[in-house]
Amino acid sequence: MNAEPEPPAILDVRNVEIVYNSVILVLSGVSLRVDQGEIVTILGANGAGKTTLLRAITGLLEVHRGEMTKGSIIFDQEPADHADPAKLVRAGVSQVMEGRRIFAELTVEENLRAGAYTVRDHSAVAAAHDRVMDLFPVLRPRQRDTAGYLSGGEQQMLAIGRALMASPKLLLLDEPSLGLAPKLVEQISEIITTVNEQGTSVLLVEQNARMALSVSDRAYVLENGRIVKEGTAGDLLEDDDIREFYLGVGEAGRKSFRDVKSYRRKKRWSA
Amino acid sequence: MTTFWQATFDGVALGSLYALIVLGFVVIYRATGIINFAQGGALLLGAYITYNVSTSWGWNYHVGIVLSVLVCAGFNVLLQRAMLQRVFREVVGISAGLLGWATLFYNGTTHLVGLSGGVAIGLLGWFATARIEARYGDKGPSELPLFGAIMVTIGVLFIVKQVVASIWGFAELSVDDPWELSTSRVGGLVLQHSKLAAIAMAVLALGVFFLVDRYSRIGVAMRATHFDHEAAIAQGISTKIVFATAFAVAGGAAALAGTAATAGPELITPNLDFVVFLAFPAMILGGLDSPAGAVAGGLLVGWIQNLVKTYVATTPEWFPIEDLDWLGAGFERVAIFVVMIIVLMVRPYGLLGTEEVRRV
Ligand SMILES: Nc1ncnc2c1ncn2[C@@H]1O[C@H](COP(=O)(O)OP(=O)(O)OP(=O)(O)O)[C@@H](O)[C@H]1O
Ligand SMILES: [Mg+2]
Repeated sequence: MNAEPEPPAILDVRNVEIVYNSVILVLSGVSLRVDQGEIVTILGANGAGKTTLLRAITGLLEVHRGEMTKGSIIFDQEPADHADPAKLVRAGVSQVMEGRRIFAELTVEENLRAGAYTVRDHSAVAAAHDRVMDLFPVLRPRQRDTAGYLSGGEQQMLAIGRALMASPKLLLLDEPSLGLAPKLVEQISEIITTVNEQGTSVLLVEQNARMALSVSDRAYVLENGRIVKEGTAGDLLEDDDIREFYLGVGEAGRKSFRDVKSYRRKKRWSA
Repeated sequence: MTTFWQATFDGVALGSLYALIVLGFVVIYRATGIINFAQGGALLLGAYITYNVSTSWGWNYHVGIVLSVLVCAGFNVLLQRAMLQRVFREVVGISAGLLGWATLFYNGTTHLVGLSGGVAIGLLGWFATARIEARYGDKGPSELPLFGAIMVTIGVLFIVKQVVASIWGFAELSVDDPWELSTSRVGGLVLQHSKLAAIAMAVLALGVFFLVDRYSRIGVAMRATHFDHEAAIAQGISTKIVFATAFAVAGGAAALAGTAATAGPELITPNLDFVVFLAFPAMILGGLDSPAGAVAGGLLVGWIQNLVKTYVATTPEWFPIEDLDWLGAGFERVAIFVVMIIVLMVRPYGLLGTEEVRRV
């Protein structure tokens, strides 16, 4: 292409290997990057290692007895492997965890304040709070309600809002569309776009490939702990394997069991 | 009626102490999942430091209270730090050994028998812990460190008790406090000033705690950590600070309780820590993870204990059975457990404990 120097990546994961309990190898040789201002998606089946990768980026592996045995992670030009989760949040990485993980027994307001734990400046907290309320008007009248009694969609919005309270540079989202009705999925994807336009880079983990690819710039496909494909969202939307196995739109007649098996075989070789 | 109100007043005063003690248990349990038996140690230490400052040194009593709160808060933070180091085999071994030695010794054996028994028991504790660690692994916040940590707190309770006894002795001591034996009479009631002071102190301390817990940054962080440890970490909440704060609060509360328990006509001995065990039913009654429950449970237990004691001693006229002496001395303590069981049958989470809030 051209000779212009690449802008520094906000997140650069290089050749990472992750092991749980000192023996279970879950990721190996995984490299991935998110540039400033990008939305990047990770697609992958259950158990591929998507959540594990996010844990590695946010310093949560230790909680799960996991360990990064090889590779490096650089966030915003600072080494981020083996870093303290609190330090990473302060540096600008926030995560919306799989399964929402809001504090069900606390109020909506208290959940948001927990999200702002690392922010010492009161006016910054107030500004973040206003932004979240603008993004999620449904939460506004419910601030004093117990978070566990919100609907699933509202809980997901609260989870995203809570992560935004720290005004992150990079937002990690782990399957935000899980269990939501199509209309809500649509809404979540709009919010991701808006947040990104407001200046936050996004790393999105999804099983809903259609939604994910429609909002993102680039994507990676993770299978059995390895990256097996990467490309722009447009390219992947055109990719036959992706179309068949993540978008469910195969060419007519190709959806037979035999084809599935041959696909699997092919996948193993590539992995 | 006077009898009833008198028992109620005394019950509330006692209940305030329980409330402070239980608050300490609850705050630590809520943050870490540990039942910190060493609270009894902090209580003893607190009482003796107040005694030492006000009586041995002759300083102002209130300075004594402040110092004792600070020292006990610091003591608890150190204890928590030590537990984080995960030296469980060693600590469990040493504490089990000391416990064994002392149990044997106080039951009348010689030092030699006590010591060798203690060493044997200590080694047993060491090996048992090592075996459990080998079985369940020793990484991460698993069940094992919890188990180990609770064992450690029992050991620490014992060590503190020994240390306190060797510094201040076993004799009953009287603290120089501003209340002495003074009382006020209101109607037919006798209000002991030291009890009024205990109530005031508890109200003040609990009030400050509830404000902090509800509205401050660290308060939200403590509660968030309790409900979802990992999600709290993901928000950048430092569990180290949360744990240390919880232990510090509990240490301070125990120091206040110890001080209040030994004011006025009450004397101080190294066996004071037994009140902690009477506070347990109050904790379960109130709900293990609820500070408000700590207050409710504490007051209820203090009140019931005094009512039962009063009415067993002098049976009221309307009561069909004239003489209740057959219930035995100390029946009021049994009554607490009866009430606890009844409450738990109706509300398994205790009066104010958290039921899981989940939408299905
Ligand atoms: N704490 C853990 N200890 C041991 N193995 C784990 C642990 N967490 C995950 N694994 C294993 O690591 C692999 C990857 O899990 P991970 O949760 O990262 O997958 P995922 O891609 O997020 O899957 P899903 O789409 O179901 O969320 C799985 O085989 C899983 O069993
Ligand atoms: Mg996952």
